[in-house]
Amino acid sequence: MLKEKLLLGQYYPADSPVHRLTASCKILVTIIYMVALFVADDWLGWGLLAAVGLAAVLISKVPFKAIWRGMKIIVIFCVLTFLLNLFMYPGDHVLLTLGRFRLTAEGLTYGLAMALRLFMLVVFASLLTLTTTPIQLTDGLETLLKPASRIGVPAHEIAMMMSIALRFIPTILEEFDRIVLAQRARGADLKQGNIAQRVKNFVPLLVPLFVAAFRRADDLSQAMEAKCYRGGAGRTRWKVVKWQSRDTVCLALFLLLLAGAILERVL
Amino acid sequence: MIEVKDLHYSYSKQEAPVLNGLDLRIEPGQWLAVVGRNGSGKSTLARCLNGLFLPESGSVLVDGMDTAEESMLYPIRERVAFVFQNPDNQLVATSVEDDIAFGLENLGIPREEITDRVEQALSVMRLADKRDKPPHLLSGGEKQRVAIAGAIAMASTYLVLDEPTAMLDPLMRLEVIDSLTRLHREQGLTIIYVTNIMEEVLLADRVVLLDQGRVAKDCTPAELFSDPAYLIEQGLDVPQISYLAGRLADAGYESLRGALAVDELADRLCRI
Amino acid sequence: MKITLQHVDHIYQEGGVSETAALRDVDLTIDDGELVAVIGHGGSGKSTLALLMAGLYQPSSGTVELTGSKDPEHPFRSVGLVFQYPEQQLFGESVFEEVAFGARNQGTAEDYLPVKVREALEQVGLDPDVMWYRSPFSLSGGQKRRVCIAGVLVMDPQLIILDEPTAGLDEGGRKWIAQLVRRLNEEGRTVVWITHNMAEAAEVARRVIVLKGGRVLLDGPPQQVFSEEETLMSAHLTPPPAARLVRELQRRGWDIEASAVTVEGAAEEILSHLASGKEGGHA
Repeated sequence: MLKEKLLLGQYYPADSPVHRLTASCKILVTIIYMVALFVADDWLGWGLLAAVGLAAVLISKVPFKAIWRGMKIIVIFCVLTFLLNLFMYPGDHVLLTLGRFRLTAEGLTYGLAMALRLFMLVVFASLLTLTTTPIQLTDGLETLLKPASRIGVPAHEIAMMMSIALRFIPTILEEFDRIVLAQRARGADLKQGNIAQRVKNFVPLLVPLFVAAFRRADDLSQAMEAKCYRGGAGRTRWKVVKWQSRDTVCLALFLLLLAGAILERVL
Repeated sequence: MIEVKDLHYSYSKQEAPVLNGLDLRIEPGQWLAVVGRNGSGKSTLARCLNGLFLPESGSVLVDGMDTAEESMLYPIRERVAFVFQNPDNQLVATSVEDDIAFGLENLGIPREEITDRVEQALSVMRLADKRDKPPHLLSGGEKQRVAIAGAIAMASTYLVLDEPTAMLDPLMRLEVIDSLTRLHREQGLTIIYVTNIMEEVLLADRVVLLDQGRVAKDCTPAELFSDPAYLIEQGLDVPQISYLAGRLADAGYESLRGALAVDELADRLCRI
Repeated sequence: MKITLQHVDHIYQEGGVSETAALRDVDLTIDDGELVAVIGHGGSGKSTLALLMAGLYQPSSGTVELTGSKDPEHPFRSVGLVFQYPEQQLFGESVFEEVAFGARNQGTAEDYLPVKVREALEQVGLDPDVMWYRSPFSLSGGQKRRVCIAGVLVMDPQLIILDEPTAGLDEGGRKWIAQLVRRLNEEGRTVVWITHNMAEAAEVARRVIVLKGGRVLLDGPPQQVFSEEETLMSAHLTPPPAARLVRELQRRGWDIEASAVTVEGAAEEILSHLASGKEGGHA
């Protein structure tokens, strides 16, 4: 279970317009949406953005339940944010006084807004990972970082590292399972003792895991060299996800949304 | 042709050299088995053939290209493909077809051609139905076949395999051996096969036994197995039938010596 | 110590070790003092069987019962399991620490640990005075394997299970392991040897269990099991070459015992047949 979870992230397979967008477009749109959320400064803006976010969820065919699963902790944060802002935000229109705390209308508005922003931000980010596999994300990231490689950002290397990590996570987890079983066969009890003792209990698990990881790294680097790997320069990318016109349209819409939010704030 | 001349190699100055003046010529189209006890230099020799390790002195020439020349390294590696012992640690990409494409991407081959070559390698290695599988869902034998498919896609002429079946169970071992035999026969691939499994040596045209970093014996498998005592002295396994044939020959039935297979030994026994 | 498996099913659970396959309706009794080889390919369920016998997996249904354990409250503590490629689990700073791990987990007093570690190292033929402070990682492959086995023997198991103990070792190493296993058995321990090497099973074990697809396919003395050539082939297994030669000669009309499954056994059979043939002049 853990293995599959890590491999697919929280990918929810479905055939929807959101799934079909290229990963690089979705990453850009997510960033734009987040910026817009923080640029917008009144209920019209926030409401519009929330509506756009919910529409995106509906179009994606990802059930609300799947999103909700990843949101539980975030909701606690949202409530905390709301409460903090509610009592801390300076304002003149006092609605209620509780001892030292004053509850103001400004605080209420601002607290609600902050909570909503945070909530929508996480919903939208979840939508990205729910509709895009980690491999597609890696690929999208490489495409986006490519221009930055001219100023020294190791775009190819970052993408390569992420992809190797994705490749080896399941293998290493399997290995970990095996090590746990083997040390249990030698009488190891991982749940015994106080915290210090428990940390110590992990030594027989972690040492072999690291030894194996280093050996793997060594083997893998030889295997890559043997296949003529020499970094990103001069390398073909076999599978390039083509930027489609629908990506352009989607990006344009969100840029428009951002422009609207900025205009509204400035005016 | 691969020519190894007076090759010396050591891991560090403190340690004894692993390869100690090794000479070897490998003709194209051959199936060469390389055997020898642990530490005899088999794996090191294999890694010198594609320039993963560079000679301390002496030289390795692949079709006339010297591995010591840096500019030749990639053309050499394109020609000399390598399959490692541990099937888990040599697949780089997250799916079978991406892994086969990895070498081609590195060579900067145009996209359309990569697609063609990957397709062909998948079909030759009978992996087409596994193309989208992530490596961790493959069996050990399948992983090794993916590694071999990568070599085919690169259109390599030499395939060096460093104990490719040591970590596989017998059934998967057969799977790998079968595909190699087919490639050797149908595509004339030159195979340099490092192994400690004597049954696999029987597949070779020629076997080279290494001892202390030098070629101690260069002969046919039949010749090698006709002398079980020498094999044991070299820390190698004796296949059961060779051992049995030798044991019976020592008891006075000299005509049995050197029999390699069950049927062959039975034939010879019936002729007594 | 005797182990009894009754109607054992083990359903593969996702997230476990990938090579472990399901077991279906396995009934098996291994008596105190037996030396059994379990043969099968990857996916036959042989590793799952080992984990069940060691109490590391619980059967999905059915029971695994141990009788005659010296620790009746925790009978599985009397089972030792040597994993495949056990050197991949080494962690100790020194050979002493490595071997002592199991004994310490059992609650052996610190003062008494050196005695037990010394004994275990001697059992696997390593010189305690040379090895004591050395890092296990600095040893050769064969030595590491011995340290790992010592790490299980230090717990003084009554039943010892070895999963492919000779994998990756050279001829000398394999011979040594076979000797060790025989000796452990002679000392009165029950031994289960898991392997895919038929010749090895023929040489070492007195009983061979063949698994296929999570079920017991054959179970009996090596002579009997290896004569079932067709059944073995259905599990993609072939009898050891010596046994195949004897069968082939029988097929060609030789009057020799099919019970010869080892090289020595076959050689003796063939030599005595040849000798009698010279005297009597066989067809």
